[in-house]
Amino acid sequence: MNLNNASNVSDSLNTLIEELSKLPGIGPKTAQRLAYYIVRQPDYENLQLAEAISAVTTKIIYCERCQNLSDYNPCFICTNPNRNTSQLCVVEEPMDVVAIEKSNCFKGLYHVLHGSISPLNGVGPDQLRIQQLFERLQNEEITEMIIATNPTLQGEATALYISNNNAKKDLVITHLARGLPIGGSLEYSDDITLSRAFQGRQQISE
Amino acid sequence: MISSRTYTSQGLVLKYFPYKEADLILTVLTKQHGKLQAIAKGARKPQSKFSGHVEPLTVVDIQLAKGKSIETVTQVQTYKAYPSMYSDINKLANGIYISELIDQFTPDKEVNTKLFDTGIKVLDIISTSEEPDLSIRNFEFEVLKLSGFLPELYTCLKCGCEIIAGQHRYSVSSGGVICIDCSDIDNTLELSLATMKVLRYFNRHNITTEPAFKIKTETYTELKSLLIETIIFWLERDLKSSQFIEHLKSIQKSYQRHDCII
Repeated sequence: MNLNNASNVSDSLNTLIEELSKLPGIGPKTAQRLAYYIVRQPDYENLQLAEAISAVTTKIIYCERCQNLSDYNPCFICTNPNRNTSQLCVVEEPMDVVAIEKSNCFKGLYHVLHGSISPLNGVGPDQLRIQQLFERLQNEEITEMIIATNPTLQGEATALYISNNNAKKDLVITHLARGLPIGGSLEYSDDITLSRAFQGRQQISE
Repeated sequence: MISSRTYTSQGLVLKYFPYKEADLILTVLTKQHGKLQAIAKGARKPQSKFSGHVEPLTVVDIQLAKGKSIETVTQVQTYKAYPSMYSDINKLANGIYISELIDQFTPDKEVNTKLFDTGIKVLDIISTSEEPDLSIRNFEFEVLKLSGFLPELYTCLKCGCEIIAGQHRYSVSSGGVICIDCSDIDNTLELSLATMKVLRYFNRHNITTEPAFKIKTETYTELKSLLIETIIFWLERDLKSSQFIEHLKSIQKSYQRHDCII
């Protein structure tokens, strides 16, 4: 695909532009600007970038336990002896693990589904890592499963599907609290969020 | 004359997809302006004043600014939400099916106020009823009717004679009933008298409340398959959300079998 006039200048530059334009949110013009920026950068910086891309392509694998992306199998979190192995937090994407780890509020294990149930887009339970989750629940000594899917229609569908179809007895299933975000405004809150915020209200400790 | 750049309408959010860092592109069936696409900027941020109001299956009062290709959401407020759907996967799956059905049968910017009102009515029923299946079939018939695909139920589509009770079959490709003399067994579906009566009831009554009668399982199965075949024929594709509903039903059946064994 000839995206621009760079083909008249250099085939390698044209290839780079084509490859960059495949990235999400990068149009042909942005790809062209990035390609010319890369050309002007010092050689070692470009090589570092190339090596980083090459490394994630060859080294990154899925942890067969939590299904998260990692350099090792099992990953650092799954093998960490200081983690609470009785609590399992189920998230949609690997980036959700990063967000929760950054908050430093959870010390248990994770399970990454790699998406959410989205019937309108043809994504059903079989396209996600839900079966691996059910197998894990049967094989490991997990007492609480915290479902941390997004509070969206797809996220709620996924949470309901998992909780309805879990076969493990004596498992406490919870999901993250719903309510008002820090920095949000009561005036602009929707009905469902407000009603759940009232349901989950807490006493102010003295 | 200067025309205003913004306009307001009541709308039903049918679906959305993420766009750029934090935006959403919504598909909304508006009451006054038909189905349209609109961008809700920043709606994926937790602090956004749009977040929560633009979830699918939410009825909203929405203000839109006209754009070159798609509209921009400037204000939105929930008019009616269905919290019970968020705690029952069967209700949620049925709601998503209604949303897909409306989306697939509605051309962009074509006003269809009756379809809007009927869509809200069936969502009301799904959110409150324990057995909304017959109402969903009623809505399928209503969608066909309001989109110009009303099945013929009174005269034979081949010879034009009046249909005699019990002497009929159904032709999906012809778009309705065929008398027994004209019907070709290979290319038509069986249509029992009971199913014919239900279809004629759907034709005479708009959805206001749940149908006050119950039908036999075999009549329901025939009715469902006939309507689904008709929908697939006109859309030239299957509905993705119906596969999810079938998946849920098959799991529930297997659990029931399992419970029986225990």
